[in-house]
Amino acid sequence: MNSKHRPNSQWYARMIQDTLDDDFVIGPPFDAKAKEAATPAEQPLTVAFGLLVKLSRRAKRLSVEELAEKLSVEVDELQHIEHEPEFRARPRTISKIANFCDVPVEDVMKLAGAAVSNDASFNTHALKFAAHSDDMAALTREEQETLKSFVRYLRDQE
Amino acid sequence: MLALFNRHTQQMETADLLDRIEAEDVSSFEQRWLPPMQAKREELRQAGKLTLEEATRWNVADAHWEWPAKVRNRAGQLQWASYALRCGGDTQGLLFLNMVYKCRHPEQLKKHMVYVDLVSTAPWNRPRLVPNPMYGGIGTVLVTEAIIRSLDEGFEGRVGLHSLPGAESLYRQKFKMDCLGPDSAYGNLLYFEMTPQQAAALLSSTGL
Repeated sequence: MNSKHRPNSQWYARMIQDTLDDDFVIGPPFDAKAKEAATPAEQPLTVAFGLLVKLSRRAKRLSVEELAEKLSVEVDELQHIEHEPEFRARPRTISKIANFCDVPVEDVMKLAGAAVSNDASFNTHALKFAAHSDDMAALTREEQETLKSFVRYLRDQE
Repeated sequence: MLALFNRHTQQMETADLLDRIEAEDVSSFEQRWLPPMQAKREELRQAGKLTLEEATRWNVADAHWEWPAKVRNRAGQLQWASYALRCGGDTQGLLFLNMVYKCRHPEQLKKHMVYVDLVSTAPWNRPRLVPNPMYGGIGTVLVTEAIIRSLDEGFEGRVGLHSLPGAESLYRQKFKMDCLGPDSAYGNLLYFEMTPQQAAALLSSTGL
């Protein structure tokens, strides 16, 4: 996994030797209250909005900072959009993102929670897209196809 | 290139870090990690010693975590990132990160950070649980990955975690994180945070 922030192998070797006898396990003790429900809550459409922005940005090889500059929005707002389903983006930002992704602004408004969506088919497509994992640093062919397919669906809504 | 320390050969051995936990890793957990951990847990239960202190002493304080269910429930949720560390043909470590938690540190209050939710290693790597543990460095590689992910996400290296009792000195002294005290909402475990300055100092350090 590539990252410009990764230290070199000497750093890792030294750090590993220095911590070899330390315990490191992280997680809940068994008397702690469960932090999450046994079954996940239904995801809101804003998860699909965040993923659409993130994958579109990565597909164009832009950092959050670069996209924020390109759209003339705050870096913080883009980070909120990508990572917080509860966050509600400003309509102007949503409009700029729709232009950036080249998809209808009305649909992106629904995804972003700025407009109500009563279209069951639209909601299903969006949630299916949101269920796609976003763990990859660069888009794989499968992810590119998932993104393209969803963007095609949004464009066909016009 | 990442590597782990093979305690048997006393050599560093190349490792692969995958940016998601795959079915192969879940299978390794279910078939090879869980049985020895459950056996020790059962031994403690039958001896009437199944307490957090004893579980920590025997290095099985995480035996109740349900990695397969967590992998299944969290798949595709934007807020979660998972990692699997493989070496020697098997899964040696697992990691879950959360991207939506905010800092509690007074100097970083409400800023974005990466929260280290779960870190675990295969039982055959655990001192005290087995007489001759195999690989060392799993936790160091995985917690370092949380810092790198924080930098990659634009969170400037801010990381938060709750430490189980045996690991407190590692995060305080080796990772140089700030301890914000016991968290009553999380089993009174100590809560630690790393600031951007601490992350930069750690990753650029040439000696601890």
